Amino acid sequence: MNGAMPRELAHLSDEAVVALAARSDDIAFAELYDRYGCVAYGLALRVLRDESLAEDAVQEAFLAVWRGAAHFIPERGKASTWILTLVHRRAVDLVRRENRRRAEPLEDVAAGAEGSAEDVAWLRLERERVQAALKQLPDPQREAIELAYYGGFTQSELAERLGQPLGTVKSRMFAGLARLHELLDAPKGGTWQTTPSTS
Amino acid sequence: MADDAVHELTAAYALDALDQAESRAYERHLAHCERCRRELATLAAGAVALAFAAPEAEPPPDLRGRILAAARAERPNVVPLPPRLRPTAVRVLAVAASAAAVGLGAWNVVLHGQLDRSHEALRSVAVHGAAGSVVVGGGGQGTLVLANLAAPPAGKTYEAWVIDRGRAEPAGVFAGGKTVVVSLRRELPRGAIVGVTIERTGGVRQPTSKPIITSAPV
Repeated sequence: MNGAMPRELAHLSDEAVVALAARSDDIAFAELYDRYGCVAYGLALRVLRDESLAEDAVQEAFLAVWRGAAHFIPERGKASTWILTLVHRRAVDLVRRENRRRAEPLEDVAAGAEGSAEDVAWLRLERERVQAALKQLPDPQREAIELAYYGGFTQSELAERLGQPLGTVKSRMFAGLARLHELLDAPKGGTWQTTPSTS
Repeated sequence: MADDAVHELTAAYALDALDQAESRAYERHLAHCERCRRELATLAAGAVALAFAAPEAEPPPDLRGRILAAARAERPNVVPLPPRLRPTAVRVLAVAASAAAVGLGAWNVVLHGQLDRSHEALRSVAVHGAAGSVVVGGGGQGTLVLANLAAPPAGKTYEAWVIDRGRAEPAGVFAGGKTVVVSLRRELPRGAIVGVTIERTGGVRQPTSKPIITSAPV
């Protein structure tokens, strides 16, 4: 992004920016990329382990955001979840097609992401928060969800790879995700709660 | 696939760990299973957290430009204005009629004032974050209409903002209610949006949080 230009939409929620993008507002679309492009690329690279494929996955996913913004339903979930789900799905499709799946962790490629200092600081904080939550999961649960999510394996492949019955893999994934959501869902300071009217 | 077995696919679906056939079966099931939709919302939020835990990586600087160019090529950036003629006027009148039915004097005055001047210039844009709309007159005067808005927390008020080119101008404070009608104190330039935040009673000069309600550009 052009660091000299103020981001006009920086004060809007993700959902509001998606609503603007749905009206063919390409400044709003650029704002979504500025917010989630780095995470999207980091995720795609983790899954695909190939820079050029990761770029393809990010590009295709963001075009799906552009095409689908008008059909986004905020009541069903957050805009960030929607965008990153599209990125992940595209990356998994590509990794299965390219048969590049690997389970070993990837070294950090580069520090110093693009974007404003606040964005970078927020992303690092969020990464530390999620990594800390992951460490609290029992190892078998953590292994199952990490292999599935970053490795691109199907549940049947996972069962085979882990030498466990499919039912065990399913319940580990379920318990791991539910616990992760619970650990991360603790309300952060500063969010408003509108209380129902009592009058 | 038996329904019981499909229920158990939610976590794998959230992790994109189903093969194509399983994935399609699950999506068909999801269309009519409220329980799985609720469960998926929770598990998908857990799964997406993993996206943030991936190692930091810097996308190539030209990727942004390539994506924007591809998006523009697909859908040229036409100025997205709602149709200004009859269909919108009809919708506005329908809103007015329901507002009038619950005895909203202020709303009627505002609406009739605008209608008298030039009713085809009157149009409404959708709001996000609450049920309602912003009605805009030809001269840029705006009215925010919201339905079923909970009362703000004690010591707080709702405050409306006219947001244009990254600047937010205060446009009035208001409370909750079944039908809320706010005559905005600022004119609405073309392309501006209306936002609502919760502020301390009496209102503030600059919003202290992201808007909880926003309109489409007017």
